[in-house]
Parts: sequence; C-alpha cells; structure tokens
Amino acid sequence: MSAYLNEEPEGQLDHGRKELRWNIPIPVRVKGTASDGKEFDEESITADASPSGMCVLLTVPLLRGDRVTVIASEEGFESPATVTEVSPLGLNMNRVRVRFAASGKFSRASAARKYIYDYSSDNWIGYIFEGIYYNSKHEPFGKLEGNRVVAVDSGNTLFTIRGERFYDLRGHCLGHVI
Amino acid sequence: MALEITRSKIDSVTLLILKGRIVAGTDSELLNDQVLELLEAGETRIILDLAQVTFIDSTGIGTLIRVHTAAMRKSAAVKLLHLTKRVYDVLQITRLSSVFGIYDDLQKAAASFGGATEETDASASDA
Repeated sequence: MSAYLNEEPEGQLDHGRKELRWNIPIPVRVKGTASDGKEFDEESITADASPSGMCVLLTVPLLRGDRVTVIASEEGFESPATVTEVSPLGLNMNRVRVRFAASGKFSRASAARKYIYDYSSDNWIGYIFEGIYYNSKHEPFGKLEGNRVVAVDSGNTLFTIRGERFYDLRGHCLGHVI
Repeated sequence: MALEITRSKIDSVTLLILKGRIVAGTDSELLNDQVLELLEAGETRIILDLAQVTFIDSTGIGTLIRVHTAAMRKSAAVKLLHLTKRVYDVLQITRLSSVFGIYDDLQKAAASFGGATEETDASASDA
C-alpha cells in the first residue's frame, strides 16, 4: 500500500511532470502567514495531490514563494510547503499549488478511505470505506468481498482489486486504488 | 437578507432548509455551527436544501467544505439538494461539484445514504 502515489502508470503523465497528480478531494488544513501579513489557519480540500505537492482551494491571499504548513489528518501527514502557483478562481477563492519541503512526502498509505481512481477519466469514480464501496455521489453502491467489489443490489461483481490496482471482469487494469 | 435555517427530520435524515445568502460572517458561522451540532449529536445523514440560497461567497464555499470534511471524519455525510444555477456554477468553477452528492429530488437524496433508512423504516413499523 505504501507505493500508491509512487506508481506511475504508463501514459498518464503529461505537461512534462515527473510524477502523477491524483485528482482526489483530500481534506487538509493549511496554516501560515498570508501575503497581507495576517496569520491564517484554513480547512479546505485538495483539487489534486502528488507525493511532492498539492493543489488546495483557499480563500486567503497567498503569493508564490510564501511558506505554509499543510496538514492532512486522515493520512497523518504534516509538512512545511512553499507556494508555487496561485490561480484565482474568482469569488475570492484561489487554487493554490504548494510543494512540500524535501522532508515531506505525501502518501495515502494510512488513509482509511481508499479512492478508486480511473485511468481513462483521470478522476476518482468512487471509494471504499469500512468495507463499503461508495460511488462518486457518495452513495453506498457495493461492498468489498475478499478482493471483489460486488453491487449491493444485484450481487454482481463490479471490479476486482489486486494490490494497488483494480481490474474489470476480464482482468484489464482500470486504475489505481489510492 | 440574513441566512435562515429551518430544520426537520425525515426518518434518519436531517434536512436543513437554507434561505438567504451564505457569506462571510454570521451566516456562514450559523450554518457551520448547526451542522457541527448535528454531527456532535450523532446525526450522520444531513441534507442541505439550497433552493432558496441566492448567493454564496468564498467563505460560504469554505463553510460547505468544512462541514463536508467534518462529516467525513465522523463517518457521516452532507448532501446538497436543489441547487440554484448560480450556486451550482460556483461549485462547478471550484470543481467542488464532484466532492458533494448533489440532488434535485429530496427522496433520491434521502435514499442516497443507503440501507439504514430502510432499517429505520422497518423498526418503526415493528413498533
């Protein structure tokens, strides 16, 4: 489980990035000093995450180069980070990309909620939490039976899990479990 | 117009009907406090009816994120119902529309929490 964020499926990287970004909504706390000099401590959610950084939705005014601390409690992760990009969304909200300090390497290994991440759409399509598979609308849709996820209503196998990947009924790899 | 929140209960689901604006200040705090109070009381299925919410600012969005993450931590869920186009567009811009369960129909929203509602129904009929 430790290598979720380190595995890079072929063909998934673009824009010259060295590692895969996962478009998953991870609850995080970001604190530090904003560009207006005021200290802040804001709870938010990620737009994407990778071992070395994240993109977080924040309302505080930040500038490239600002130092913050990122805390992801579900993963037991805390790291200093540097703001590398700020993209205004309007509505006084920004997408803030941060890069963790060299000592910080984000991993979801300890997270109880495991996202089912589909390669083809490059997005999460559901998650498994306490043996229940929830779809993208957070509806209980299936349950984990051994390495199979079966539909709640029909009992049909939806997909199987082997290691950190999930497969269709013909054994084709569809994506990661992260 | 200050935010007004009306609370009701449908089986095991708590419905909060919001009216007004969810903006920085007491409006956002009111919503945050009400949802946290429900979570503290052990409620795990909460629906926010936003049909009468006319405007939401960044603090309001932050409040939605906060109550969503607070619910996740308690193995609970907050779902959104009857979004106006304006509010939906805001969630689309911020890509938060994929974070929340969003519904146009109360029954579907209530059913989306899964089997425990049926269990509540069954126990009620037993009684």
